[in-house]
Amino acid sequence: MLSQWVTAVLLVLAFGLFSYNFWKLLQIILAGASRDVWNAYHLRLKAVIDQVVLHKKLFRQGVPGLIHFLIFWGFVILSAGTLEWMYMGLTGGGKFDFLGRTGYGLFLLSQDWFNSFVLAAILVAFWRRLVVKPQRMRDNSSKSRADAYFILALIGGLVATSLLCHAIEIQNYGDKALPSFQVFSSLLAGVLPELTTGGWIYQASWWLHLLIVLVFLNYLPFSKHLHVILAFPNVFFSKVKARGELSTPDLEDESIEEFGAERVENLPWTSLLDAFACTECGRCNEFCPTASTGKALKPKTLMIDLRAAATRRKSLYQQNIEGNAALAALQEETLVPNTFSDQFVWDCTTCGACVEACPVMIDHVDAIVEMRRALVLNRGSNPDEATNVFRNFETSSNPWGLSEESRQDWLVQQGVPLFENSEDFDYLYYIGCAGSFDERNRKVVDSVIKLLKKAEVKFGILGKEEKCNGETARRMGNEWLAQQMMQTTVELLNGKAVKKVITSCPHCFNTLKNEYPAFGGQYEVIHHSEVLDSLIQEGRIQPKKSVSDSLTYHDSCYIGRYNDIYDQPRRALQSVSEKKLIEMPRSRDKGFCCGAGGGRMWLEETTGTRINANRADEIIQSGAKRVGVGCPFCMTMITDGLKSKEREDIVVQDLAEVIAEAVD
Amino acid sequence: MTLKIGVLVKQVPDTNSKIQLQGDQIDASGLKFVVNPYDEFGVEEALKTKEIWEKAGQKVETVAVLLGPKAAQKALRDVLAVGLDRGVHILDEEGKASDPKSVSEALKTVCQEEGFHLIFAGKQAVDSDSHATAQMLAEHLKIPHVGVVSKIDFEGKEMAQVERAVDGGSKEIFKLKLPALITANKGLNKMRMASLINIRKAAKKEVKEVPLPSVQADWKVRSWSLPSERAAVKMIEGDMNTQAAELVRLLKEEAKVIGS
Ligand code: SF4
Ligand code: SF4
Repeated sequence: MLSQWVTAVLLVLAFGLFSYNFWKLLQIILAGASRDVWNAYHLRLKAVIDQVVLHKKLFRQGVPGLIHFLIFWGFVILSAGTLEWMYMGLTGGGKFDFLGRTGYGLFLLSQDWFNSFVLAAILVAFWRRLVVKPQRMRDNSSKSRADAYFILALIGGLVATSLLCHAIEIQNYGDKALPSFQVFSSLLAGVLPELTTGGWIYQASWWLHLLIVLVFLNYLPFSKHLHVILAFPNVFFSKVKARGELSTPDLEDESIEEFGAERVENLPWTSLLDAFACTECGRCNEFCPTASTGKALKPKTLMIDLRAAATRRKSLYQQNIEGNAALAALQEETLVPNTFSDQFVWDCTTCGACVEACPVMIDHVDAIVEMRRALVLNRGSNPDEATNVFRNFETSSNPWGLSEESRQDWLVQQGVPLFENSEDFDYLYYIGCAGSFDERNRKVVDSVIKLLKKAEVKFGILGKEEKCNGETARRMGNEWLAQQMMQTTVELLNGKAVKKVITSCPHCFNTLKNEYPAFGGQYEVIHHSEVLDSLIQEGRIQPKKSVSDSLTYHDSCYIGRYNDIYDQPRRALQSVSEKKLIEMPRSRDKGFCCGAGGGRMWLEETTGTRINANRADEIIQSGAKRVGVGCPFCMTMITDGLKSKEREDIVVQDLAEVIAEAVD
Repeated sequence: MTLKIGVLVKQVPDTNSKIQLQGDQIDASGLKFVVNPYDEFGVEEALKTKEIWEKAGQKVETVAVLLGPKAAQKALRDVLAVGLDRGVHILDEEGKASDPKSVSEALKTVCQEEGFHLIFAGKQAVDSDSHATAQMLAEHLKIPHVGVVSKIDFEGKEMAQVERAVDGGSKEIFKLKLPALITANKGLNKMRMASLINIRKAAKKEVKEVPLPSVQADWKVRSWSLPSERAAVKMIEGDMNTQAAELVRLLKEEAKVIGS
């Protein structure tokens, strides 16, 4: 009877304490800006099934993925055992045997197997941390490491005590304890000396097990293992619209006095939930181009520091600020520079490698863009080079500030038809700024046009009417300029009743496809790699010869990770290549950014090593003689990267050029 | 007491836009007008100075002063959007103040009324390129002035050390007692972006319109003409000697760049 009371009191205390701490945590998270998440339930459910139930992202890396998968499912199944444990304590020895012999037997079987599985997995995890030491865990803080060991020890203790108690029960109750369902516990019972359930070893293990559960529960809110609780809601509430669509704030709203995320609580609460759900696993850093080249920005640090900043501000939401100087000062603190440096925020190429890697579906890019918006829209504080590009966009609608008159003039002179209305043309070929003004990339456009003509595709261009679509300004935080640019192009395209658009630039592609619908522009947008692939498939382009050089393909973030176009460019290239395409280690969804995205193309890269040089090394190591790209900015960056390594012998070509060469 | 910093601002045609004439007058309809690029450096320097002084506990007000027709007020709003506190617009619809002397006299009246502790201007306006107005204004106000400055360091609020490049890569360094007038050269700084919040605020900032004081201009541009089209390239044929002789003849007689 006494033990029942002790159990009850322990449970009430532990759950009470947990609820209290969790409630405080919720207050911190919900202090964030509102975000509508009560929609698209099927997509949200799908995300939960993919990431929580099936661990899809974790399986990007096989062994650690599998270990986590086992620990996770072990945890779920063992939680049922924990319920039985509590039931046993409260009822003074009751078991779940009301499930019937078979039902309970299966229940015991699951416990037995998973106790043993998890014990083995825990031992491997210890081994990995102590002996193998994978790169992504090396930069963990000592707190984070201690945290990991503590948690692993807790879980290890949990399963070990459970196995032990079950073994002793088998020794004492014999067949009543259903030993045939408990292989591992029976084995243990066989090797252990005779013990009794009344003896201190059993009793101590039993209480230790319960205590571990309760300690674990209350340790959670203060550790990175909070993700045990928050990963599920975080995945459920993660972004369901296209990853490449940034939020569209209402800039006309005169009541808004600050835009973007000036302070922690200006971030949507989903971003704060992100920060608390982060498991500090470091997968984001591993794939991040800035973290990989020694720059200030590390996406994991973004989450950890955001969490710390949000926690620091909790007294603001929980106490009265008025007349309290310390709180008033805290209120004034801004994300930049109090939590993050300018450099940190401007480093990001928005490549999305972190987002893709994160197993709990954290979105780092959206948070970074929100901070850039605050800097640009509220303070006009951005790198000088950014000021230059913004001006160039304003005056000439292209990042170079070149005369709008000269846009695509060489094509117009060649007689490439101007898109007037959709009756005469199937496609608008939206060339973009780089293709229109940059010498090297004009050649790519020439190749695309040659191939389109060859396949008798009916297309037109905009000539000097074309304007920059606003992608770069948007990712550089200049939402105000970007919205004007986006509206202008939407009006232009709608005025010509455009329905299908071919783009050469993945950045144009993403914005036209994913961001224009919010501005009233609904088009079927196709990247030239998709067009060329299908024209080859349909036999409308027939390569006459093939390239004998070994070829590799460099994924562009904005058609790859942002829009899942991985196969089309590869298939198109393969169709004109004698040899099998070489895949670099970092390819497809793990592709490594060239360093130009997020407006970085226009900013100096002065810290750490150069991102394009890092990629160039990988290209050199692949042994390829040519590298195919599908993006004008990758073209520039990769060419420069190879030049810096004095490997200009490796040819950088857009896939359209490689194909055009094979068609002649 | 609040210290006032004045910034002279002129609206000029964008040097990228093509000047076209209607008769012998400039056709302004096709022109894009902007803030004189050199004045932007003055604007930024005023904002920076304000930040420095305010950090030291001094209240500072920055005032943009512009002379021109009503339409030129856009330039004033533009610099207010970058962060200057208020503007004074000396209205000159008919272009009566047509030379540096008359403009500087008009500016003098406003500057005296305001009692600026420091005045910034661009080293020149890129339309008329007279290079004279700010200098004349300093003379009118009887305050020290240094032109074409590319670096400024303040020593407190009363002294400034300024630098300017002179021929051959050397520098002149001046110490200057405030109140003073400084004209800015490229390299001094880069004007910050007008943030959206500031653009909104700019619409509500005070712009005081004052009539043009009676000033006397000494000259006014009567008429304009475009430079004649450049003649086509002429290829000279023949052997070396004939080519040389022909070249000398052409330079003498047609291009008239060498005397006989
Ligand atoms: S988007 Fe790319 S550059 Fe930015 S933090 Fe993520 S991985 Fe790093
Ligand atoms: S943000 Fe995601 S990938 Fe990065 S450490 Fe946290 S959980 Fe891991």
